[in-house]
Amino acid sequence: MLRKRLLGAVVVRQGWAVQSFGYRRWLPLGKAECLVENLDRWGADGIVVLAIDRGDQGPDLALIERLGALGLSTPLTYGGGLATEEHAREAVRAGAERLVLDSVLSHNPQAVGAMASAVGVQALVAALPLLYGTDGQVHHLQHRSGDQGLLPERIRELIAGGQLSEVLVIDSTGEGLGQGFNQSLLQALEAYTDLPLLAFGGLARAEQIRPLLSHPQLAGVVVGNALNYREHAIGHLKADLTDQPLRPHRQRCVI
Amino acid sequence: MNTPPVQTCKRCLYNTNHPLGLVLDADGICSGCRIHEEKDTLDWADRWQRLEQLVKPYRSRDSRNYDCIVPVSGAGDSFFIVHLVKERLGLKPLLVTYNRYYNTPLGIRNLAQLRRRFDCDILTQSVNPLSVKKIIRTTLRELGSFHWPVLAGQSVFPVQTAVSHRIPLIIWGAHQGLEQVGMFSHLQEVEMTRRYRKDHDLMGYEADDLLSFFDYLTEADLWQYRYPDEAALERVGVRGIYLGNFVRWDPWAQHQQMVKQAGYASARMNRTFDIYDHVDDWHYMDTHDIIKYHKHGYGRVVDQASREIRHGRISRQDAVSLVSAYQGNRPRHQSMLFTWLGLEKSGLDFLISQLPCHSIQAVVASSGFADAPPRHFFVPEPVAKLDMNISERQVIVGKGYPDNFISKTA
Repeated sequence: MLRKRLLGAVVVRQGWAVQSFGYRRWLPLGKAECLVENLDRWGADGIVVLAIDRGDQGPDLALIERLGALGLSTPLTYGGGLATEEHAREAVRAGAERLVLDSVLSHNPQAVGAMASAVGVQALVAALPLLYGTDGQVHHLQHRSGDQGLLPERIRELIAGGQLSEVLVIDSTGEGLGQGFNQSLLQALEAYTDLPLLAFGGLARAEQIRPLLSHPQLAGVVVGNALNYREHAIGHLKADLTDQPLRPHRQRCVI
Repeated sequence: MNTPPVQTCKRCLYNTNHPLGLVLDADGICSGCRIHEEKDTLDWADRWQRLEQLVKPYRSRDSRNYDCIVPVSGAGDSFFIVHLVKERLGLKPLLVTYNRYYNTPLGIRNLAQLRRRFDCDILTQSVNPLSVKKIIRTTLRELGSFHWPVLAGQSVFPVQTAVSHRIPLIIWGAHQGLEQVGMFSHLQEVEMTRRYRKDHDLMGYEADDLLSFFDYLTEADLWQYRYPDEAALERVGVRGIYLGNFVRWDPWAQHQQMVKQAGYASARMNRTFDIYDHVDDWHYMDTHDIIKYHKHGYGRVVDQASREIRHGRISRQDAVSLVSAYQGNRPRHQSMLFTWLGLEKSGLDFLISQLPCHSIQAVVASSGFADAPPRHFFVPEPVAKLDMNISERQVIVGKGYPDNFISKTA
């Protein structure tokens, strides 16, 4: 198996890259292009751009095109507003290599198969925002409505089937807080899927990432807010994790 | 994409058109005001201890070496920063300053006073003025900015010096994005990044990006503004920290302290009530501020008035009055700028007509600053004047300059 990946996330709201805290509070950061270009220069193993307020507007194709025009050498994954086969096709045509599906998993799961046919299974990643409910069970959170409940049957079927390539597991409680990712969320998903998992939410420091990397199903970790606090944040994290099965640091030689 | 409607903060004067980005919460309070609230809740004694621990590894064991680099100017927060670095942290800084070419005699005097009062060495970078003027003509036309070389130079020269002198620690004052729009919490302890510099300071254009414009700029004009390459930065371990994450940052109070304690000299300016900021630059609060006004819909006085609201020294109504009183004032030093750059007023007028907020009446009306009744706001009498005496222009370095300056001009 390939070594695990350290990916950078850029959350976009109202056209601005923002720091996100539990998808409820935001602080402005700047232009998504500048953040993405920077992650590329730093040698992230992947870049995940999540436009979180697209709703029914479809994907932000103008944004994807601007990012595509940067000539990135890092794989670009886009999420936000993807609801149809045509959306998937347009987003890939605009420059995204992989797509993160969130609301469509709940609202129109039938579309996922058509999207997989259009752009390939390898391009589709399921986003599952999870948290622990008051009943002590792992719940799935629907961002748009705020509703939460046990992982719906239709989503369980999707992540068990052959229409998706990875699952982005989002720790909704810890998202943005830098207090670490709740590892038990990964264990909870093992029962439902054999797909490789990506952990996102609450990750800021190497000691929070280290225990996750021993999880056999984990393919990578995604860090968001914390990459904006310090120069060469990717390199610093990787330097602190050289003893781990993480891909080695590969910095771009860009002046 | 649907453009969201512009919303104004209920507490300060900023709206969501702020060029750094601004987020309003459900109560209509902006991210800048919310982050400012941390100033009254954080344990600053504890924060200071964190800073002391942070700088500890950078103390040189050899008195012949510098511990850190401190970027300075003849205004801004330079005096207070050097005071903290030298007198409270006990570090030995190498001061670095970028020559903006818009120096006021008062700014030169302040810079000389700074290095003499705090007994520091200083490096000055003066990029050849022909290239600077070429760059300004290009950035003015393409980005609507006179100030790109200043912003690029003052943000990169300290980093270049850190690499060339192998001094890894750079100490800045406050982080503009944190202070104005609450980009980060103080607790996140944000540090200097190339990304922020390009994104915000340089309006998305680093030096080499300017070469993509179809005009006469060449690499020879721009190389001085290049950021050091990644490998060099990592090799030296360059790191830029902000004191504002560890000290309750309050520019107005800090300036007053530095006037009394360290001989900082203030002056009255035409477009603001703030007698402390930017007294070293005859262009910044002048034509540069006019451009900012037409580009973003507000002048620097809005930044300063919003800051004073947040610090609780004035009400929102007072702030609106102050902005109303100053924001429409005419620039005083435009002819010097035209002479220096070889620019005609009609050229500037055309440029302004192309900027997004060029209709002054519309901007004033929409911002609620129109017809605001004048209100009293106490401003101390400045120490000096922003004197433009031609005979003083020859003085560049400031050797022996401070002694008689204030008594001559005040």
